[in-house]
Amino acid sequence: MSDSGSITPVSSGFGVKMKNKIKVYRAMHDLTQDALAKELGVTRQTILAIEKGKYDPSLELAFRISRYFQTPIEEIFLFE
Amino acid sequence: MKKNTFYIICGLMAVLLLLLFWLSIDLSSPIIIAVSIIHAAVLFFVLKQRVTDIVQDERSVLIDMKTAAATIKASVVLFLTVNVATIVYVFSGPLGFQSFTYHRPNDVMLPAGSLESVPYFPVPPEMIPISQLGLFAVLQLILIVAALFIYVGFRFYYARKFGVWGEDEE
Repeated sequence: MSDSGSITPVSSGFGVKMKNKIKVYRAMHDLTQDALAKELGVTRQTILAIEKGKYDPSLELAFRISRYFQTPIEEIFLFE
Repeated sequence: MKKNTFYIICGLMAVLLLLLFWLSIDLSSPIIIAVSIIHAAVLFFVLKQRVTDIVQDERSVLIDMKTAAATIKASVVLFLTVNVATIVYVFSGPLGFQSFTYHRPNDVMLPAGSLESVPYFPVPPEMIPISQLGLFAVLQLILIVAALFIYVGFRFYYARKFGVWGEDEE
């Protein structure tokens, strides 16, 4: 869970970074990117982009992800 | 409607527009292509609404929006530059605010002392040759193509920026 190697940083453009642990949670739930994308109603590329730190999800999608994994949002998305 | 059907129809519409463009030139009737483009645009949006298997999510919408905004910004600068240059070119001719210069003919056959009685003749500024007006059509064509290239370029840029072409999972 606290594997920092799988936490993806995302630059917000203001010197702070967003990190997320979606890949970790996806592995814990034994989900493929495609399956998670279908559950959340987005494309696989969007999940891939979020995991790679190339795209910050909207607040709505972030909440949907946290609700899907039944985990507090701050556990999945870290703002540093 | 499936998205592949939609893309095929779009391709056919593009070919048809090209033919109508050619027909417009041939018949010297700009109204044909003008009306056709408006109809094609309406048809395009109506058909797009009927496509069922295009998956759009917030990231693709963001890419669309950013591409459109960047294309508009770049195109406005490009169009403004060409428009101002064109205005300068046209206004430097007889349609502009350039006043005529006056010229007294230098006729050696005039008797001495009689030069003052010869009137000044207005000399029109240099005319823009009609053959050069075709340049404006070419310029318009270049602008349209440039706008398309700008759109495609920004599309690639933002698609890459937001990670469409990342490697596959696992």
